[in-house]
Amino acid sequence: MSGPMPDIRLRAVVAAIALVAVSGCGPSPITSTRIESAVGPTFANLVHVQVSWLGLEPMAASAFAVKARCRKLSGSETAGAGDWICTVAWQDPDGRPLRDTYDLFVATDGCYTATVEGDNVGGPVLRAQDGSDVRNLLYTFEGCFDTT
Amino acid sequence: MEEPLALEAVGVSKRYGDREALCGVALIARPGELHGLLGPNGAGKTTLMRVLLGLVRRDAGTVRLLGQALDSTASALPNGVAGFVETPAFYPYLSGRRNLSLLARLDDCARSRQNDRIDSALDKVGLAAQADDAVGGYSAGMRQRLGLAAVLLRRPRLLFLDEPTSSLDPAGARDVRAIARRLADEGTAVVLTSHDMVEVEELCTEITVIDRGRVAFSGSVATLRALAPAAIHVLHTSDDRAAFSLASERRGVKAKVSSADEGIELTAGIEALDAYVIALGRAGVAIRNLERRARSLESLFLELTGHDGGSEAPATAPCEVPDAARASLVVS
Amino acid sequence: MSVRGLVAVAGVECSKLAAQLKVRLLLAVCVAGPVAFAAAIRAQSSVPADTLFGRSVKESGFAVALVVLGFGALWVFPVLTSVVGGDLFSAEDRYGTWTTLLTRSRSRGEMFAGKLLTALGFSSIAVAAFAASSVAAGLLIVGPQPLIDLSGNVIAPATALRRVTLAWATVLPPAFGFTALAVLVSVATKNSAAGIGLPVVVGLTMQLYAFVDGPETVRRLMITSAFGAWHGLLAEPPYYRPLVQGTLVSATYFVVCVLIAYRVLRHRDIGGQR
Repeated sequence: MSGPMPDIRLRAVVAAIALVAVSGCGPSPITSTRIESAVGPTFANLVHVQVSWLGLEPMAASAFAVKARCRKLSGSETAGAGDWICTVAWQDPDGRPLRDTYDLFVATDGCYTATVEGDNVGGPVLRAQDGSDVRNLLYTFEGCFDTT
Repeated sequence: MEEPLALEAVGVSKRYGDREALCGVALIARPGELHGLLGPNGAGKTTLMRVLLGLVRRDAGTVRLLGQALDSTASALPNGVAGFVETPAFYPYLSGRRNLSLLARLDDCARSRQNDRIDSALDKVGLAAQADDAVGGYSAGMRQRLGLAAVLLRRPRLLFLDEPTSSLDPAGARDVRAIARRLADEGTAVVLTSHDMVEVEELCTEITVIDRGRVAFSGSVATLRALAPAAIHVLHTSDDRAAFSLASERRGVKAKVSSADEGIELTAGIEALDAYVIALGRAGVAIRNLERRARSLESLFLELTGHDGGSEAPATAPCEVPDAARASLVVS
Repeated sequence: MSVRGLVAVAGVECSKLAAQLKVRLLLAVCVAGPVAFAAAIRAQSSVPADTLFGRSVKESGFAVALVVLGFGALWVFPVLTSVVGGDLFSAEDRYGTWTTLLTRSRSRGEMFAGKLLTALGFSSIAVAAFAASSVAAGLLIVGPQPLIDLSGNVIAPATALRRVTLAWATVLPPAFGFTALAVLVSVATKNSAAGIGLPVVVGLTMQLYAFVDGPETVRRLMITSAFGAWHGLLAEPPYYRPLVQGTLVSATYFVVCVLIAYRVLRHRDIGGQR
C-alpha cells in the first residue's frame, strides 16, 4: 500500500464514525413517544387489514381514530428496552369507543411484540363472514421503529 | 566488456532478536556458473537463500537479481529468477500436474503454452507417470522432483536450489545434477546449497563457504583445492609411541595423537606418507591399520568452518563490509 | 500491483476452493437449508412466533424469506463468511506453501488482494445462494401472497419481492466486515481454527449485547447491529439511518482489518527463524 491515506478522507471517516458513536450518547432512544408513534398507526393498519380479511365493509385506517399511550412497566424509568404497557383507544367499525391494553416487549433494536390483555379483540383465531378461520391480527402483533 | 552478473549480493546481514543469522555476506554468480554454497547446519545457507528469494527481509546489504535490485519483500520475484528452499511444499489434495498449472497461472504463463511447459518440466524431472496422482501421496523424493519441475516452469536464468538432492536416491541425484549442469551450459546461473562436499566438488565451478553467518571462503574450486591440506590418515601400529616419535622427526609429516581411538592422526602428502610407511617398516614398527579419514577438501571445509575441533570459534566482529571487499569479489 | 496479477491470483484461489469438499458442501447447505425450512413450515401447524415475520410464514412466502434472513443474522452469516476468509491465508501456513507461492511472479500485495477478493466473492455467493433459495423456497412452497409489513400495511407481491431482495442485499456490508475480520485473524494467527472460530465468537458475543440494555453508543459500533438494518426497509414510512450507520461501521471494520492484515503479511519473514 503506498503511503498514508489522504488526510482529508481519513478525517472524514473518523468524523463520521465519531458521529455514529456520539449519536448514541444520552438517554435511551426507546421512548414512549417513539413507541406510541409506531404502535398507533400499526394497530390502525392492522384493523384495516383484519376488517377486509373478515369480509366486512372495508374501512380506512384513519376511520378508527387510534390513539396509543405507552409507559414503561418498571415505574421508575421512562425509557429503555424491556416491558412496556400500551393502552390503545380507538373506535370499532360501528363507531363505539374501545380501549385495549397491550403488553409490549421492546428489544434494544427497536423491534417490539405486543400481546393483548383480555379478550376484547377476540382470541387468536377469528371466524370470517364466509365461515373460514383467519388469524386475529390484533391478538399479537409486531413492528419496528427507528432508534437512531 | 564484462558480462552482467546474474546475482550480486553484498553485505547481506540478518538478525533474529539478538542472534546474528547472517553478517556481511557477499555472493556473486555469473551467467552459466554453477555456484555451490556450503556450510554446516545452521550456518545460514537457507536463511541467505530466503533473503535472496525475497522471502525474508534483510537488515542490511544490497541484492541484485539479473540486474534488478531486490528492494523489499513486497515486490514480485523478477521473471527469470526461480528457486526453492527446503522441502518444496504443494497442495496435497491436488495432483502434481494441477499444482504446476496453478503455479504457471501465477507466472502469467499464457494458457496455450502452459500444458507444453508443464509436460516438458515433468518429463525432465521424471515425474510424468505420477503427475496425475495427488501430491499427498508423494514421497519426499517425488516432492523434490516436483519442486524442481516447478522452478523449471519459469525458464530461469538465475536458479536457487536448496539441497536439491537430499531426498533423492543416487540415480535421482544424478539426474538432478545433470539438469543443473545442462541449465548452466545454457547460460543459467545456478546457486545450490549442499552439505555434500563431494557433490559440490563434482558439480560446481565456484564455491562459497558460510559458517555462523559469515563467509569463510569464496572463490573457485581450483583455488579451494590449492588451499587444501593433505589428507588426514589415522594409523594404528604395533608400537604407537615409536611411530609417533618417528613421525615428529620427519619433515612433511604432521602427527597428532587421535583423541577418538588412540591411534595417530597423520597429515601428510602422498609422497611423504609413502616414505614414512617405509621408514616405519625399517624401524621394525608394524602397521596394523592405516585409514584415510577425511578427503582433502572436506578437511579444509571443516577447518574453514572451525569444526575440526582444533581452532577456536572466530571472534564475532561487527557486520560491515568495506567497499574494497566488494570490488575484489567482482574482480576475482 | 496490477489488476491482471490480482485476477490471476483470485483465479488460482477459486480453483483451489472449487476442489475442496467443504466449500461445495457449504454452498449446498445454503441452498438446501431454506428449502428444508419452508417444507417444514408447510408440514407443521406451529410457526416460529419469536422471530420477526414468524407469525406470517404460513400466509406469505415472502415472510419465509425474511424469517430465514433474521435467523441467518444470528447464527449463519458470521460462520458462512468466516469459513473461507478464515482459512484462505492460514491454509498456506498449514501446508507450508507460502514459499511456493511467493517465489512466482506475483507480489505480496497481489497475493493478498487476490485472496481477499476470493474470500469476499465466496461470501457474496454464499449470501446470494442463501437469499435466492429462501425467496424461491418461500414463493414455491408457501406462495407469493401479499405480505404484511412491520407497520401493518399489506404489500403487493411485486413490491414485496423488491423489498425482500433489498433486505437481503443489506446483509452484504456486515458480511464483508466479518470476512475481513476472519482474514485478519487468519493472517495474524496463521491458524485456521482461530480464523473461523474467532469471528463466530465475536459475532455471538456481540449478539448477546442485544439482550443487554447497555449504552446505545456501543450497540451502534458493533458490526452485528448492521445485520438488523433491513427492518427499516419493511416499515412505513421506511427509515434508512440504521442502514447508513451500519454500512459505515461495517466499512470501517473492513478497512481497519484489511490494512492491518496486509501490513502483517507484507512484513512477515516467510520460514523465518530456525
